Amino acid sequence: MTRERDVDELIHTFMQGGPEELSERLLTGIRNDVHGTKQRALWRPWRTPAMPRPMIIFAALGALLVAIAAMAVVGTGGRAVPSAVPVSPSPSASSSSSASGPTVITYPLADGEAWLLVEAAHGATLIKPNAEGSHTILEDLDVAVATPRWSNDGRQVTFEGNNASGSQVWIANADGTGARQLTETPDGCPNETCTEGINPDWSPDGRSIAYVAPTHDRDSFTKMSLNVVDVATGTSRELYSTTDASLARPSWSPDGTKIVLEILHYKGKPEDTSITSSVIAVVDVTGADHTPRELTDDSLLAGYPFWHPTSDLIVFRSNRFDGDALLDPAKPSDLYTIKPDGSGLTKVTDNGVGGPIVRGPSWTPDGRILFGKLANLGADEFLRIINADGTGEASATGNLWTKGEGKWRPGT
Amino acid sequence: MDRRLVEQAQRGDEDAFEALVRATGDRCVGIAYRILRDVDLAEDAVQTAYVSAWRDLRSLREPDRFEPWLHRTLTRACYEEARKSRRYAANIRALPTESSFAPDDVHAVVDRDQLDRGIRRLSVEQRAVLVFHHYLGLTLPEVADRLDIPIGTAKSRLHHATNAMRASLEADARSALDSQERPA
Repeated sequence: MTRERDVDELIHTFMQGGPEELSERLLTGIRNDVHGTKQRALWRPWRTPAMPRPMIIFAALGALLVAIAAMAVVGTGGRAVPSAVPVSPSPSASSSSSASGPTVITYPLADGEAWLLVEAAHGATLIKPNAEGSHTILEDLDVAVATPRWSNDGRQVTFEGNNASGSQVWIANADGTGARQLTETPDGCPNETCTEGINPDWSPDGRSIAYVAPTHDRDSFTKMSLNVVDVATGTSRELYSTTDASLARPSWSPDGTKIVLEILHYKGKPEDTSITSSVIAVVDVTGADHTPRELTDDSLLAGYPFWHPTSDLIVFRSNRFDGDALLDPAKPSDLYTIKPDGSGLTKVTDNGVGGPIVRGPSWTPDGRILFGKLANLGADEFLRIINADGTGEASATGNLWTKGEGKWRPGT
Repeated sequence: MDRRLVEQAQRGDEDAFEALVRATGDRCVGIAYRILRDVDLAEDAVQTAYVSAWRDLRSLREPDRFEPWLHRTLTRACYEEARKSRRYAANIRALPTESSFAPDDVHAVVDRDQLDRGIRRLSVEQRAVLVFHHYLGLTLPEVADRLDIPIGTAKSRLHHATNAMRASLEADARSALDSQERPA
């Protein structure tokens, strides 16, 4: 009986039934609780809770001096060096604090000009370090933009484009112009067997893009693959595939011979149950054997690896955060680095259980780590920057609230 | 949503906040109930969400987006209630009868029970995506934005939830057929 009816329609109809009225009793309870609850002051990422008032004044004066120095540099025609010095909110910063705010940049992007590329709700956002300006690109496409990454020369971007037909790999110029779909599936998603393209990452030589390809029919996944597509021809080749795990977030080594990625394990089939653990692993691109070599064990819940731009060092985060919950609330969320042979595991942050949550780490061109940070579950997310040895943590975009992972433009 | 009310509430005006609660409360109860499938748990989640919203209201940068922001807070409260209810599963009460289906529509009643069983088998995160997509009528990018999760995650959760519901309905149908064929 139910097979003959569309399950979507059934769920939709079912959802319309049920209570949807706020009772006077509940309203009274809320009123009483609110009356006894003090509103929180705004959290400022440049101010730590333990910072005493004199230090705040000192920090504000320091920030003012930095701002004056920066204006002097701009005034002489020089280009300010990207800095992670914490800055206090300023009128100009707040006016550009919305991704849909006024355009303050010109195209094409000047060579050597530093920009952060951030996933946004409708498009991708380019943000200047220290939040001097922001602008949304790729917002006029008929696909939703996700997981954008720079090409190695900083002139192009690749991203996954999502619509009702599934996700595919796209590329575009760094200013958002010239967007085109690079991968496609012959049969069309989601009604027939199809292969999608997600989590693209541009190879160092710019000729290829690695991406994850989930293949599925209407009811279930049949396999997850790590693919590489030739940018010039659009031809894809499969490096590795699996039927009992999910793959995510490939990232190329600087010499283009290896790819590090995240492997997610499930209790049962991926489509039936939720994630139970994750590890990071390295795939040899050039050899005959492309089987991933795991670098971490399950206990770390490692994920979102990103290879250093010039050396054999990989940054990743522990304890996957899906936007609303940690994979294991009883474990902390931290940044780590590790060498591609599995040695040298180093903890970069020390957040503790119930402490701050870190997301989507990546490397800046000068070897610092850019990452998203929430003060706690439910708090706003800010882009932060930290040295690989755990020192010098500071805001990457001033007081600008961001959502999604940031990538620093290569070569700047 | 009246932007002025939000701004007044951000300045500590409890009457303005109560007006916001009255304007948005019915929908919040509807969302929480459909995620948690229990009236008492849903009311607890709604109360927690509004108190959290009041406490953190000054962090809301765009007053025009009060309701989406509130729904995100509410969803987190639902997750927490669901986790508590798993810890104290013995305290969960039976689901009250819903009234949306005509009592004489036998097929609809069968579907309703099957659907309820199917939804209860889903994770609370999957239920939330179904509720925002089917109850609020949001598109997937809107669901992702409302729940503050990546689009890929929203899509994956909707896909898995829909497949699980289909499998659950088919399993129930097979089970019903078996019991009919079994000798008395």
